Amino acid sequence: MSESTQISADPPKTVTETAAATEAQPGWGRALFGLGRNGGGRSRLAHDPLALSPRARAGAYAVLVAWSLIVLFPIYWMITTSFKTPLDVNSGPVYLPGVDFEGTTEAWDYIINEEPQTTRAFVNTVVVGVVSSLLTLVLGASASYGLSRLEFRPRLASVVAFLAGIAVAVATTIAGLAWQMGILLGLAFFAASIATWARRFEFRLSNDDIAFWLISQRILPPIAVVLPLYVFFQQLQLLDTRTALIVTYVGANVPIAIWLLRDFFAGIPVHLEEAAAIDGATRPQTFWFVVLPAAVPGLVATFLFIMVFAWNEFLIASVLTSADAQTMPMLVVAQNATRGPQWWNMSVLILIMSLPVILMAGFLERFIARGLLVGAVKG
Amino acid sequence: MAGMNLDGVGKTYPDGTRAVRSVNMTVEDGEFMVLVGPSGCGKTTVLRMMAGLESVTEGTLSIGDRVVNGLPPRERDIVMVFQNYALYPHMTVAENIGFGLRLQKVPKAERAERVKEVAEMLEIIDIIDKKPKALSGGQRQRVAMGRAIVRRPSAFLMDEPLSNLDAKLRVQMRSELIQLHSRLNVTTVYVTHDQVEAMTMGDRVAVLRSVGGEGQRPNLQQVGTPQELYEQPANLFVAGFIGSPSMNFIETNMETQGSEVSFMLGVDRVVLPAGVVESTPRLLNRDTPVIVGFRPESLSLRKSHDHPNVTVTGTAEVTEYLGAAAHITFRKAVGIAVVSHHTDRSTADAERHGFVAQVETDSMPQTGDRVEFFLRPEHFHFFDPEDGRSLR
Repeated sequence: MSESTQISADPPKTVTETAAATEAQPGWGRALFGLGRNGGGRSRLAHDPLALSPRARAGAYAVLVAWSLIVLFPIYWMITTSFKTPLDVNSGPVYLPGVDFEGTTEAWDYIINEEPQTTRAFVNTVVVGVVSSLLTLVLGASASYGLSRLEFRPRLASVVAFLAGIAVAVATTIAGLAWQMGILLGLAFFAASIATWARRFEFRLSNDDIAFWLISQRILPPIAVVLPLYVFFQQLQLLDTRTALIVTYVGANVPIAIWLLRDFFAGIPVHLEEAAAIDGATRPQTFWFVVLPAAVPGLVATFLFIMVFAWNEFLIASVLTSADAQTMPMLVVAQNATRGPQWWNMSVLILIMSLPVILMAGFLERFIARGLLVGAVKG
Repeated sequence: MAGMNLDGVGKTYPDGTRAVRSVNMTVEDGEFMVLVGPSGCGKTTVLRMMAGLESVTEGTLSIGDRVVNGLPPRERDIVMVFQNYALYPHMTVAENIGFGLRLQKVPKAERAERVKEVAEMLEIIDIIDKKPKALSGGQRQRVAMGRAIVRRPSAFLMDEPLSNLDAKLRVQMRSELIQLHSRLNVTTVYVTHDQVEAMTMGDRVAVLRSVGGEGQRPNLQQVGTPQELYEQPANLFVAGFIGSPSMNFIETNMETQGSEVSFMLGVDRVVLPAGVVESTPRLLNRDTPVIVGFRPESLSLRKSHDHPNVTVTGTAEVTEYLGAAAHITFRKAVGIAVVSHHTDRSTADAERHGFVAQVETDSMPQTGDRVEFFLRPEHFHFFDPEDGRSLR
């Protein structure tokens, strides 16, 4: 690259190059994750400087096995608990079905066949999780693509004027004006401001400022916004609806999605989009046919990330829902009601709600495979 | 099919940086025009303006008889081959080549037919179902070419398409591109920093130079056939840029005594034959400084018996054996100014390099030897030290 780099200010390192660099230096990856792959002298190099000695390999396996036990044991504990009778759970630790205790499907039977809310809560969780994540992805992808490709230079004073306009609208409405009039007044104030005093302040915000502002929306602890949210949806008469949950989760997740996807879009070579423009594509066509497919790994990873958040969310759901729109986490907690914690029922519910996520992660994992951009540019 | 015309084309970026100033140039229909110049000379910017990837901030740019200044790339009927190929990583070779046709809503059957035809022409038919990451550099280059050819555009724009290939493949692809052009006969504008590519491929070559620190200098230095550029460089920059190794320059004074015109080349006095003075009449009325240039390949270790010879003496400092020829870097006994301005070479660089001769290998001197070189006086080039222009 000669002067094109200097003039168009390409990112100095594309994802491709980074991926290639990672492939070329597999040291860490191999040392940490792929210990067995290189064993038995199958390496192409006569002496692989990164190969571990037998003793080091044994040590590494010991650490990994110990760690897997720590990670996997709670899951095992939960699975066995779901097949225990209340007596077996409460009489102290027992571990092996058939040896320590007799397995029973009572809890499963109860949750699936007798508990009336299971199906509804499961459907709510799926609908809220999937719909909110897809909406988040659409909004987040558009915003982060815009932030990575277009330069925004809004005046700080214009932003201040906009906020002041909102204040005017709210104040006049509270003072007794019809809300339509309040909004009109606010807009008028905003328009008058950007035409007059706001022009005199030259200080402008950049894309980085916008991105930081977006992520800063997550700095506030959720507990601080829960009550305003409750009042908000109460006024809109949307309490205990899936809509309320979807709107809230989209609002909470969009900043994270933008933050995660921004680097991903920035890493897609601009040349690809220029090639598409030369091939006759309009901007929307370029985005749809070229940018999105190239961004699939990032989109899938982001989808999984925000989907899990929405799937497991408890605090907001506990405030905004009471019966119809309850999600699985609510139902799990409901098992600790008047009769004390029903561990066996909880275990069954948690397993039921975990399974789809595990399956989805397994299915989508292949889309996250790295190096999708390899071959796009250079060799 | 269409030619291209640039009339006073310039480019200033929003931050005030100037990349291109007043480029006036015509690319004839079917011509292979090469834009060549060092890094930062604006050649890629000019190409990207032709493509519609950069806005034109001054002048008019027309393709055929249409002014295309404000048109997006898709309305210009051009294609561009990128330096790094820019293949779509998620599409197969066939999909990559056919993408433009798909956007043009060319029916599927016809699309497949045209893709196949192009793939056969470029001998990539057997990799047509592979994705770019499975391809070698040369194959990717061919796919990028195929993506351009299949569109049947009125002009090809190529941005250093061979610079990512290894040397051997580059030479092979170079001749394939030449053959392809003579077969398709489509107007082609080809950007390169490699003057060998420029000289071998171009019907005509445009030499570009950066606009300079104040952005006052027009980029375009000379447009001409490779032979014109080599034999009659318009100024010091072109003279220094075209040819490898570069032309040697010295700053000296023309002295006229009666009908005899001469100058000092270090300790050697060079008397110019009447023929040379006649062809360069502007030398006559000068007792003023002049820059004399001579190409390394004009020097010889053998005296020519049919022509008058000028002798240049010096001490060999570096001898490089290249097989068919040898390069000898030498210094003159008496120090002489080595020209660096007007050529964009640094003074230190020019001084370090001394003079270079490209000579026959049969009687190669050793390092430290005192050497006599001979050259024919008509091989001298003369330049005005004020503005760097050729005095011919």
